[in-house]
Amino acid sequence: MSGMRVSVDRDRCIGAGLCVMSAPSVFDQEDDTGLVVLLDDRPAGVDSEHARKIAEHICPSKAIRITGG
Amino acid sequence: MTDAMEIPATCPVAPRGWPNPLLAEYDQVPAGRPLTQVTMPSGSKAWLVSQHDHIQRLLADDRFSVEPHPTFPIRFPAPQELLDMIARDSKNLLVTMDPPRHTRVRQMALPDFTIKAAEKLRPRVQELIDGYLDRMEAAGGPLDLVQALALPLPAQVICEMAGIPEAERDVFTRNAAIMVGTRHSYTMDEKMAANNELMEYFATLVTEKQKNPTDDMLGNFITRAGRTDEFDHHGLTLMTKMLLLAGYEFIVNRIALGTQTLLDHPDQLKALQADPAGLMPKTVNEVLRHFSIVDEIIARVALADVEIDGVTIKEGEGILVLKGLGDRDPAKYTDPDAFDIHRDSRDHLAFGYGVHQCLGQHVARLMMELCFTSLFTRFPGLHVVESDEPIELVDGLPPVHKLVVGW
Ligand code: HEM
Ligand code: SF4
Repeated sequence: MSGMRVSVDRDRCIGAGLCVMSAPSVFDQEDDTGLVVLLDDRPAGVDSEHARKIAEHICPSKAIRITGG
Repeated sequence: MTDAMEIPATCPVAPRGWPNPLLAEYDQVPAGRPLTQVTMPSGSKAWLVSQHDHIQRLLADDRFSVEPHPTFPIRFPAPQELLDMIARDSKNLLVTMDPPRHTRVRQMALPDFTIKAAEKLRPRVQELIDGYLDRMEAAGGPLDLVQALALPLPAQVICEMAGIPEAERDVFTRNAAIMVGTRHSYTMDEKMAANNELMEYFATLVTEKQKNPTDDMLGNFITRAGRTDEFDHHGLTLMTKMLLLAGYEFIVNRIALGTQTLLDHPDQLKALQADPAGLMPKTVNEVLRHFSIVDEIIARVALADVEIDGVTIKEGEGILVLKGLGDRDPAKYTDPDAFDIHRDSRDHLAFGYGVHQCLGQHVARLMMELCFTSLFTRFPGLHVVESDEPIELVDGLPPVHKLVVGW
């Protein structure tokens, strides 16, 4: 599980902000654009579970990718 | 394996169990049913998509379009003139644009719809709610919560976001209420007149903001759009209408329906009051999931053959997304018809899915949260006085129902 890597694709992001709501220590929304900013590309513990759920089921534009873990 | 089935149904517009004469066929599409092809009253064919997983996959798929297309699924037979007008207007509406234009235009509005932008509105929204509750208290119950809070609050919040001066708000609130009202309360002519008056007002608002730019959601949008050649004046007027009215009826309904449902579940309401910080976000999501069924359905057209679970949706075929059924899909949610604020409903489809997912969702969540918290704190004895009023769905339009409460 420790090998999990998160990446974001800002060209796909539509700024729905749902990632920020579910895992605010992993994702943020940039003030001037509203697009996703990755704060932590190797989340651990409960954040890593959230990140996985967000990537698979919550982010509406499939802008979050999880590798490893 | 091919699960597809063809049924000679006319198009359903709202879910089972809801009192609407057009709804008989909805019963034939139980939650969890595979893709089903139907012929609509307009004569065109479309696939009904009702499983949560299918909905997410298809709405996130770039091969589906929202732009006008000869075989775009249209649910009601409409005169060509009206179809032409819709096609013309739709070129200027975010909700009927495909990427890459959709991406450019959405980003012109996005900075004023982020979580942080919505949070900045919090004190003002609270102040507005307190004002409505003061007036309720002074008037004394029982009274209709829709008229006292659910209808006027979002109108004021939207006016603030658009920087509409107090003196001009009456034009907006009066006509917006007519446009979201059911046909029981207003005729089609009245709705058309309301639409015309609003469009005239929005046209002057656009001109004014072009001349004197303002730092509010609408002012910023118009300024950003002005740096491109994306819209002419009429286009900006249409976009203004969409930004200000896209979610109005939805949010009115959610405030009323959410309050009523929480009152119907006193144990859950008690748990919520004991732990508002922990349970409010979940409650808001559960209200959204549970009432996903009251909205318009979402339509798209395939630009290429798309294969899903052994079914091929052919290029040019339409899909109708029954998000209300997706949000009650037993494969996704246990006991889906039950209202349960303890469940994890973050992945509900109430705001849609894919690139068009609701732009106003954080403002909507904020209004729901503050309304529920304020109502139940201020009036601990809040109860429904008239609960036998059926929730109305007229011609598939969402209900703005009456909710008479006492306290
Ligand atoms: C609880 C209340 C609300 C619900 C359930 C709701 C629902 C939705 C849905 C389902 C869509 C997607 C339509 C599609 O994919 O075809 C959408 C889009 C949209 N909503 Fe909302 N909405 C709500 C409140 C609001 C509010 C308050 C605003 C504005 C202040 C708003 C503005 C928009 C806009 C501009 C779009 C188009 C986004 C795009 O195409 O990129 N909504 N909404
Ligand atoms: S949930 Fe997806 S679309 Fe929304 S802000 Fe995060 S990355 Fe962007």
